[in-house]
Amino acid sequence: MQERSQNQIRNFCIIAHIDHGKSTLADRLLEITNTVSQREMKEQLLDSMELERERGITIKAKAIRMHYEANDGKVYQLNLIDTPGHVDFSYEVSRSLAACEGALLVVDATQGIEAQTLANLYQALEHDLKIIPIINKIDLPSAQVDEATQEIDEVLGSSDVYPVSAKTGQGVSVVLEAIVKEVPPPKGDMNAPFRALIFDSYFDSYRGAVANIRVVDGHVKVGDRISMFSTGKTFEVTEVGTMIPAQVSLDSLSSGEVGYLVASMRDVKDTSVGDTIINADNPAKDPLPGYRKAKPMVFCGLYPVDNDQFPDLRTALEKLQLNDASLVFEPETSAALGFGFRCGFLGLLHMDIIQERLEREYNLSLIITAPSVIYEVFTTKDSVLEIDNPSKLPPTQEILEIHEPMVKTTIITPDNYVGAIMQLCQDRRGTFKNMEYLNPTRAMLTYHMPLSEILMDFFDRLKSSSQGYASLDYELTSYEKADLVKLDILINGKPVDALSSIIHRDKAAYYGRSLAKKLKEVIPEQLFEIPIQAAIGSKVIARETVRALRKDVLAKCYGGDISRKRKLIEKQKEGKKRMKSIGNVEIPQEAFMAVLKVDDND
Amino acid sequence: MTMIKSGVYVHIPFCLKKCAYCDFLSHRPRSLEVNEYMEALAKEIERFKVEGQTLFIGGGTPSIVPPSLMERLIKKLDKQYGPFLEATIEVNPGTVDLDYLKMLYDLGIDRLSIGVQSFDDDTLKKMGRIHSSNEAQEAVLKACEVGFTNISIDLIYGYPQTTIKTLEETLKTAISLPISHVSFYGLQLEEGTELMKERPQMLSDKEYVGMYYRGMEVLEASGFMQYEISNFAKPDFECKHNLIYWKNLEYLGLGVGAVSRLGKVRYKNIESVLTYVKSIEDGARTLLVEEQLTAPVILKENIMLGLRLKEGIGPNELGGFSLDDLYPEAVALLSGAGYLEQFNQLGVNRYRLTKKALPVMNSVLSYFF
Repeated sequence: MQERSQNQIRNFCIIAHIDHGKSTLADRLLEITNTVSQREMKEQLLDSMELERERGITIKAKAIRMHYEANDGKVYQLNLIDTPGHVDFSYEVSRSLAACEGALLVVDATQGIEAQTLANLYQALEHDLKIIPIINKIDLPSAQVDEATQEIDEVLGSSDVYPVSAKTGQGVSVVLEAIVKEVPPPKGDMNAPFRALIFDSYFDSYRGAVANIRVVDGHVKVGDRISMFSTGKTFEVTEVGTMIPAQVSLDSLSSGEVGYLVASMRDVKDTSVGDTIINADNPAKDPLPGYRKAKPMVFCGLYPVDNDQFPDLRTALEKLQLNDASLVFEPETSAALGFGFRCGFLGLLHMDIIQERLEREYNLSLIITAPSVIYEVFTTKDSVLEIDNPSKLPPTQEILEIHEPMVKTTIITPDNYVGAIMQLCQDRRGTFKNMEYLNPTRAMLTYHMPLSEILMDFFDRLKSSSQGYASLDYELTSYEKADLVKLDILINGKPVDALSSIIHRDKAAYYGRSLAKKLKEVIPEQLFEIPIQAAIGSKVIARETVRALRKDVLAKCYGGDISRKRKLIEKQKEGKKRMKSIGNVEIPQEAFMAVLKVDDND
Repeated sequence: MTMIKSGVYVHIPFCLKKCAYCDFLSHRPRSLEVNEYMEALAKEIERFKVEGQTLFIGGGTPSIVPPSLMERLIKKLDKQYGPFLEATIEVNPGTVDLDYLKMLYDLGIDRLSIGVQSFDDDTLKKMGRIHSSNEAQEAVLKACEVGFTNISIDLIYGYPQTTIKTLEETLKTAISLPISHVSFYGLQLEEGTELMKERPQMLSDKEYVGMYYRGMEVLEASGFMQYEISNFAKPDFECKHNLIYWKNLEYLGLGVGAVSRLGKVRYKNIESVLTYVKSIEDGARTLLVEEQLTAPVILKENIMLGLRLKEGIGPNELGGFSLDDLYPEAVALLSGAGYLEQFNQLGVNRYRLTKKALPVMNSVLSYFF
């Protein structure tokens, strides 16, 4: 089997929007090729992490090998490489695409193409992948196969589509034949020095970092000394294999094949996605194209509610980092929140996932400050500072200019919501770039927009402006100068650093008022009156007051009530412990995220 | 047999009709249920040897127990645990006549707690009470007639759709009657009550607290001194039995659902009448351990209960310490903000809640928990 010629290998991935049926289709492919029997089939095998299942998204790419006897009588090795389905992981997506020669484009017949699908599709086209368009869910009564076909035609210039129902299996075997016939075989050089692309990696507590690789040239076997092109670090290969879908170790992996590689690598930083693995004793001269270090775009502070949990938080972050090279963190101190970490993420979803895992898997109770982008601050001292935390912004008199990251934002929406969405984008300082129609009723809008505006609840607002129909994709384009100011929040007369934000001057007054109002809503009444102020520099621009608590009493407490009522007050006290005490004021966790929830229109 | 010296509480879990706001353990009895229950109660009484200090027969509505059965109960209690420094029974104005009251008085009951709740007929109707304002007033007068000199009434303020005006009328009537004690309770909306199911529009906190302060004002002006968050008495008419609870002393609870605190353990009796009756017949245990009281728990409870009282807390309740020894920061903060006041009683440094603190007592307490 090792000697199977590359002509009988097909490497492909599936491009689909969340819920459009990627996992279900993958399941059918595995079933039809007898890779996994129906009985063994855990629903949607590819999404194994609990969180992924809950959110219906695939976070980490994986690969599964199938053997398929085609109509021509030959047995083909089909490698299905899974891709993450979210904008935050677009770099990972691009590496998965680079490992393939073909892609199944899955479009939900009831929904049409979504923005992210399109973004991934364009990436796939850039990688010269052969696209096999599939219209899924044709079994549903609401399926609109013609409209979906028209959209695909608009985008690909071909209406040659495969209608399937991944759920019932209808049409799926035709797809397998299409993979064999249409996706080109790998074109690597069997005899050249070994080169492989890392498209995914994860940490295994017994074996260290495990790299999922696509061998491009040559071959690799157990005992080989390998080297990482970007770092030059060398390791000895202890295991190679493939997943069918359980891991099966093999003697070697050769040109064109997809599999995993273990080499006593301590953590996933040694196996950066996109890096090229070469043979240390017979090194290839050039790396495979496209490597770049994952760069976090979104930052926030993570603080334990209980300061004693700081070491636990560090340990938890270190453990998560073992498996997630794109997560970065460093300790920081906040006057209000004590010791914590400033953490960098690829995007909002990535941030959400990490927070949720910290709280769920590591049982930490956290305060999360509002996410921030990296600002470039040009100072009077002729230096350029990268500021990822609003409280670190230098005093106004030292600032010459502030530049902020801009993104190209693509939104696909049914055309009746275009007006509302354009209004939203304009409110968010977006510059209109383009609008085109994918079909007579679906438009694609392109805006040039500050990334910080997207972090502020943009996605939820987009969804509510379009009754949930619009989809979003964005990519970083440039840094641009903007008239930004720092907005401070004072509670009980004291500035709370963790509540500071950087905001456009034109929006600051309005935003300050809304934020003060929002904080008044989320901070519970306490024994003392609590003044809340929003200020730019020394100028107070908004003021609200949480009035003192009026009533919190148990009218009756007799012999039968004592235990119960004591427990009630104990519980109340527990609730307080989940809040952060700043001065004499108890501030609930959500207050620190209130910055995000400031309404645009009231 | 346990040898204790304590307050004795007896629970009668029966009512003719459940009031809308009530979440106590009570129901309308099935036929013969009262007889069976009283029988079992008599047997439970025999299980304990107690030197009773006070007696409190509460409910439910103890006064729906037929005279003959009530007579047997009281005699039994008296024989087993008496004599008492104070013997109270709760009565519903809709269930007592002159004879019943006379019987109670003659059996040695010296304190009546009458569930009046309001002297406004509209409000009584909303609450689902079975009596009118007139009947309530008559009940007080009749009790006085048969010889009771220690009469307490319960009043509820803050009921949905009531106003400060109707409350003032009720208070005016109350202070005109020959009573010595008022329990003045703010309504608490409890899970599972009829009232909760109605999802009523509750009064605002401001209105609620306004009513509370108004009640304090009127009652104190008429010589009813506030000695606990919700209790007011003419001098020397404080309820001795309830003070046992608030001082976190020992008490024995008899009957279904009754709680006892004996030594460092709090017990709770079986709550179902059927199981209770059967267990008593079988000679099985009915007292179930609810909680072991450790030193820190007792300290918390002493603070929680002691701060309900006008006499507050001092070294006696705090293991020899003063509150500011134990919680210097909280005491400084709360005193500074006018929630806590220090006073001197017989040369001893004590703390109590200020008038401002009473309506927000739980929040104040959380500083000591």
